[in-house]
Parts: sequence; C-alpha cells; structure tokens
Amino acid sequence: MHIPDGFLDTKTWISFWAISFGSLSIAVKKVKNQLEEKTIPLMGVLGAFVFAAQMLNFPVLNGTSGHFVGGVLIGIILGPYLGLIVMSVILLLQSLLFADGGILTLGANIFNMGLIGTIFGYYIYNFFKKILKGNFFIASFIAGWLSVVIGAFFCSLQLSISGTVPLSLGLPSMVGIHALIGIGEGLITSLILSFIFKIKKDLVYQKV
Amino acid sequence: MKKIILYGFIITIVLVVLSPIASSFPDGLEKVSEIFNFSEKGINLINSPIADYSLRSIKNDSLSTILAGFIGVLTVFFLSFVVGYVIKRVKI
Repeated sequence: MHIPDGFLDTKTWISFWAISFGSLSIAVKKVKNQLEEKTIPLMGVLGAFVFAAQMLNFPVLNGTSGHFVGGVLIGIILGPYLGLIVMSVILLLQSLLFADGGILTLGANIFNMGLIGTIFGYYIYNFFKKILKGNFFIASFIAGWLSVVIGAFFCSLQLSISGTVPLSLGLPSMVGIHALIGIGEGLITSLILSFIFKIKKDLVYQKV
Repeated sequence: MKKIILYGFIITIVLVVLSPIASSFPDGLEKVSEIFNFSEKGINLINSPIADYSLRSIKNDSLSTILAGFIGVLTVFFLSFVVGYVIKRVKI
C-alpha cells in the first residue's frame, strides 16, 4: 500500500505531511519520559523484523499480492506512540533506500500504515480485548484486519482528493483487495503475539 | 527480554533468507493503479540506491534480494536504536 510519488497532488501530500509529522512530534514528547533503556533494543529488533516481514508478499487473488504491515503488532508491544516512531523509521528508510513509497507521499504513507496501525490499532485492540474478555488472539486479528482496511480506505480518499482516481472506483477496489490482504495481517499479528506471549507474558506496553 | 531479542533476530534472518520466494504479483495499490490506468503517474524523485529491493551490481536475483533485505534490516535496526537513544538522552 506504499504510495509512490506522483499519485498525490501537492495539497494532499502537504496536508498529510503536516498531520503525520505533527503526530510524530507529539509522540516523541509523550514517550520521552517513559522510554526505558531496556526497551531500545526491542525497538530495533521489532523494526527489523517488521521490515523483513514486509518484503514477503503473499498472493491474495489472481495476479495480486499483499504483505504484512505490522503497525498493530508494533503498537501493541511498544505502545501507540513509540510504535508510531518505529513504523515511521521503517517507512522513511523504505522510501529513501528502496524506492518503496515516495518521499513527498511519506506523510500519507505514515498516516495510512503507521498512524492507523499503531495508534488506532492499539486502541481498537484493547477495546476488543475488553469486549472479548481478554481474548487477545481474536482482538489482535480484528485490529490487524481493520488497520489494513481503514488504511486502504484513507489511501483511496487521498487518491480521489488528488484527482488521481475517483472515489467511486478507487474505494471499492482498494477496500475490497485489502479486505483480503487484511486477513493475512490479522492472522500474522495474532500468531506472532501468541508466540511472544508464550515466551514473555508481560511484554506489552503498560500505560503509565 | 534477552530471549525475545534473540528469537526476534533469528526469525528476522530467516525471513530475509526466504524473501526471494515472495510473490512478485503487484500489491493491492499497484493492481488498482493498473486497473484504472494511473500506474504511469508514479515517479521516482530520489535515486534510491537499492530500488525495488535489488542490488544492480549483483547478477543473481535471489542473492541480490537477500543482500538488499540484510541492508534494510541492519539500517532499520540501527536507526531505530539511534532514534530511541536520542529520544531518551537528548533534551529537546
């Protein structure tokens, strides 16, 4: 879902740069006082893992593929704000080094895959975990699925505001394909969380 | 915590080694851009050294992807680490 340069017009990419980098500066202030030294290696290893996992596209339909995004996973483990920071590091390097996602469109990509996954994903996960009486597996599946579908929704919105493709065409196809890709996102998120919880039950962000 | 870091590294290395088997089909957005004829709008504004996760100097495609993956993994690890350290230590 990485938007390349050229897909968004100036007003759209500037707006999303403002939203995403405004959110990032808030995130830095929020984590500054609670970030523990021992969490820093975990930021690195989780970021590296998600980067590698994003390379593994899986086929979803005839001729289409999708890949794990990882925002919800990172948000649950590192918390929404530190999660957003790590996701932004990944998206920045993908854009600069690998031409995966544009540089002008980086703000929109941070919004669609970083902000939605980590901040929205974190709260939606905890909401469903509460409703489902602590069932983290289903809760993280739902959060993973929703994060991808809502990210695709915003992506089609950005494309239509930019005049690239009308919402009536872009929205159903983007959300439709990503409703399938999201199943992969949900499953991978749930499976990795189960694995992590087996090793270390308390390795989740605790609200301070 | 040490166990998680260790397992995390091992799994990450396994994923990078597996990366050549990834589906080469266009992803969701690429596919939509092809269906509605706006894929040609995409441009590269910066000359990324490892565009599309392959090192041009290496002829073997699989090896090229794996090396690109390792470079990515190391840079993400390093930059996340530095960012974490800066946030923790530097007064803003």
